[in-house]
Amino acid sequence: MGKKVAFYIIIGVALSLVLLPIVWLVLTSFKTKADIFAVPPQWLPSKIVLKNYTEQFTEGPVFRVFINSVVIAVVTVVSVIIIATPAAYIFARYRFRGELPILILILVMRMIPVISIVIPLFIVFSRLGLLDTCVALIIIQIACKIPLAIWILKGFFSTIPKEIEECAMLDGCSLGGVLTRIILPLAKPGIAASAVIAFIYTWNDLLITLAISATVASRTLPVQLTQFVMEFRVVWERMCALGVIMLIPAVVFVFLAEKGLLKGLLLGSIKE
Amino acid sequence: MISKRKPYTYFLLLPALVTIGLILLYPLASAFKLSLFKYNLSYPPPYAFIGFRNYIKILTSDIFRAVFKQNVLFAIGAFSIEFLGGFGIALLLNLKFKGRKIFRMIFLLPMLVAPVLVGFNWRWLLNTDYGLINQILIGIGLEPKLWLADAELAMFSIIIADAWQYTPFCILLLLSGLQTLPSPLYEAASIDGASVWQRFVHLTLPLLRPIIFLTIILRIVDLFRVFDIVYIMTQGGPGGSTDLLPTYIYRITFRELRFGYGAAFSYIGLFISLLLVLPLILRMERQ
Repeated sequence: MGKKVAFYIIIGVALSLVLLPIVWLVLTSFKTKADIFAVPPQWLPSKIVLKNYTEQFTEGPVFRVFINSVVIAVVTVVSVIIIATPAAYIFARYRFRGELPILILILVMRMIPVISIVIPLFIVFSRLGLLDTCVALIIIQIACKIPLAIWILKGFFSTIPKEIEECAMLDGCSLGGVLTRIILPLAKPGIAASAVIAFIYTWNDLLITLAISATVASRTLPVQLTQFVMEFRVVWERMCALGVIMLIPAVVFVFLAEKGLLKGLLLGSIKE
Repeated sequence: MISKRKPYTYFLLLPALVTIGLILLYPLASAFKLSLFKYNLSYPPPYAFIGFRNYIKILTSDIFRAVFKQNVLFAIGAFSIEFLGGFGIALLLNLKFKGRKIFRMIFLLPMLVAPVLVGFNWRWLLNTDYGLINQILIGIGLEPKLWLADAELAMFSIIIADAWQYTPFCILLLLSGLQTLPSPLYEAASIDGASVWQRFVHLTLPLLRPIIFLTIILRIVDLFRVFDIVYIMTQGGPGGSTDLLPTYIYRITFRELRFGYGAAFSYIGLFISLLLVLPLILRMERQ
């Protein structure tokens, strides 16, 4: 009995720490400017204002920006998983010359701070004439997430005992069959985790989009957030509202990934 | 031992390597080339090739030592909370209890919020006059603190903000790992009389080894790249006391326009990350 109580206390404390900023975020999104700067700070808005949300769409380009974000994120995640899964499998199962250096080099791609690569990226895509396009952003995001996905997937593939595959191969199963029928189902949590991480990092990315995007044509939601940092003040109520709007697709995606709906996508496309 | 090693299977590696190579190698090479020049945009070209002089200048400067030390301090603080807290929560969430799916989603929420917004949110919460945290402190009879204006507290504040946002990262990976563990093994172990602790040390830890290493490596690499949260909360202040490598590089490059110096700084940061992580990678691969 004592164990259960302790368990729920720990979970409860952790939960409140986690939720405090988010609850504050949501509440602020419904406040007026006056409520926000009230001293002492008020928890609840004196009256609930919906215009922080509605005016984003009527006065601002949020709808277009939202679509951009969704398209870029979804295309990126699907592509990354398709490209990274076979590669990660090879790194996990095969030993070949130069394997470790290549793996380390892949990780090194992640070690340089983003600010240092945005300018060369800008130059390259400027010369290609692809500045301010979603295509450019998709390509860059895919390239940036593949190292992460490979490492995560490789880690999860390593936890699967080799014997299972060997048995299957002895029974005449092809490599493609092994991948789809044995590895993928067993590594489902790992694939879901990689997909979630790839999605979140793309959905919330700021610096790369700031560098490549110039107009609403290719702007994503995080950049739109920065529009609320104005010269004299930060428009907190709008920013929080947009933040909540941004949270919803992210939550939906995580929910779907957990449910394994991605599994169907994967099995359908890897047919080697 | 997978015996049938057909050569064409290595082609599965190509799409990944080609994509990364095409998009990322050029910026990396370009930044490296830049680091070998005295490329200061406040002065007119031509820009002199100075070889590794930028690197030597950085490595012998006091500012680098300070920024590096601060970044390490930040990394240790944030990592401890994220990994230990994350592992603990993952273990708890792995138990079967009612509503665990919802709890799991809630605990992942902080990672879903945009880092920029997390930075602003915490900046607001920790505001000395308007912030909620200080109001709560006053409410329970404690003194309000200068969370972002005091040098030591500011470091503590950014650690808390980063831990808040990225503990879910550790939870996600470790919990997913825990879910791949086969339950029959555990049942057999309990039947044989193994205690919870014994099951943890002798079953969970070894089986989870790749994922534990993975989580540690990825977090350490990312903790030397943190920009959004710190920049928004403190801009590296007060007085440079919360300057981390990325924020300092940002100032050097975009405020002082010393592109060559900034590029060299980035590469030194890269080598530091690599040095810290390499032993872990080698340990992980030695199976």
